[in-house]
Amino acid sequence: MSGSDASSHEMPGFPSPSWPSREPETPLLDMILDGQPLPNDAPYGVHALAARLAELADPAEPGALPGEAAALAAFSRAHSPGSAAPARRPAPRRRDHLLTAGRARLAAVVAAVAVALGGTAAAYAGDLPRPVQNFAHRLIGAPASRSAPSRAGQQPAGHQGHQPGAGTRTGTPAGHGHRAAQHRKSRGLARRKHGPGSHQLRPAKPGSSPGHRGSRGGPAG
Amino acid sequence: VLGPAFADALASAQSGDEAAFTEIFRDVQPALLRYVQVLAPGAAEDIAGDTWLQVVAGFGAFDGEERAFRAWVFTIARHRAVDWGRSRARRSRIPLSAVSERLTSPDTADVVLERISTRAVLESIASLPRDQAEIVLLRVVAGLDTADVARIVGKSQGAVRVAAHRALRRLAKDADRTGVTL
Repeated sequence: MSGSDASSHEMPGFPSPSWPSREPETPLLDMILDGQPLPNDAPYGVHALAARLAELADPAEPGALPGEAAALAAFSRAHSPGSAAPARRPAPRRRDHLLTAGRARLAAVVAAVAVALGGTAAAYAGDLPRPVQNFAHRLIGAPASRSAPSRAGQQPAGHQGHQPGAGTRTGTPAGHGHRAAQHRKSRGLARRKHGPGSHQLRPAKPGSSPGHRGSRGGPAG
Repeated sequence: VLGPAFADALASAQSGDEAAFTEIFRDVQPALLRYVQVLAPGAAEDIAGDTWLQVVAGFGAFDGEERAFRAWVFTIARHRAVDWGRSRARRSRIPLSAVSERLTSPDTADVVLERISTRAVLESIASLPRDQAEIVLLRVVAGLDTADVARIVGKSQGAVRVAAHRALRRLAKDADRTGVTL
């Protein structure tokens, strides 16, 4: 047997620098990698290597493995009835976004309808601010603003609460007490040049309006 | 490897059957621990635990055969091991020689590595260049084919094949040189 014919296993005392260039060995290596049985005439070292590598793929001894309890606990949580985690094939995230967007649109439509209905009711009840009430009057035929006809005798808003039927609204944000308080506050604002509510609340003819007088001592009438 | 039984086990587990999930877990976990033990010595159980948490989170949506499942699990484990390595590198540099030292030290995963011969061959693999060691483990321990491994490690199939051959030749050469049958 010549040196070139002997495998490293047959001559263990000699280094085998020719090993990497042995192309015929490549199929044996592929067999090891693929877990296939080696031919009987394969070198002993290759057999030994294959056997040891195969041990690494062996299952563990029977019994619980490290991390098994934690993994099972996570699995149980994921499949518990109250879990938010999906049990099987969760819907794509995009669908969730679409649902959320759809719900938002629905809520917006409901809110708009509610506001429209409420606004219409308020318009027919004459509860809207004067410009809005006048606009509703022109648009949907709601009653005109109660103070609109008497431009010359514009009254403070607080006086509207004392008109017939207005007493039923007492105690509401639009009731007399609130508006009277607004009016008392507006008196101070009226003295300012740029008070936001002063123009509307200030009597057209200072000192001549009964409303103005009434605002000092309470409800006119 | 569960083989033909995997499909039923997967379906049962996805329906919430804990026994079926345990069957899959016990089939994969030993190889997973051995793989992570070489990639992230000393943190194998933690990384494997994180891997299973992620697997459980996406378990219901998985659809595929056993090899694809194992490739998925080992891909997750590799990412966790890479993250661990980066965080470790930020704190301190660990020489590759420390791998063998950690493999012979007590570890919670030792129950899987109970056999001395198993530990010895893992030490030999850990002494290989990192990419060769990982490829051998994925091919032999995880049971993945060249295409799967190429995808996981981000190399061409040819590069994976060459690296695997070099690794096996070196392991066999070392065994011949030392006269130890690994």
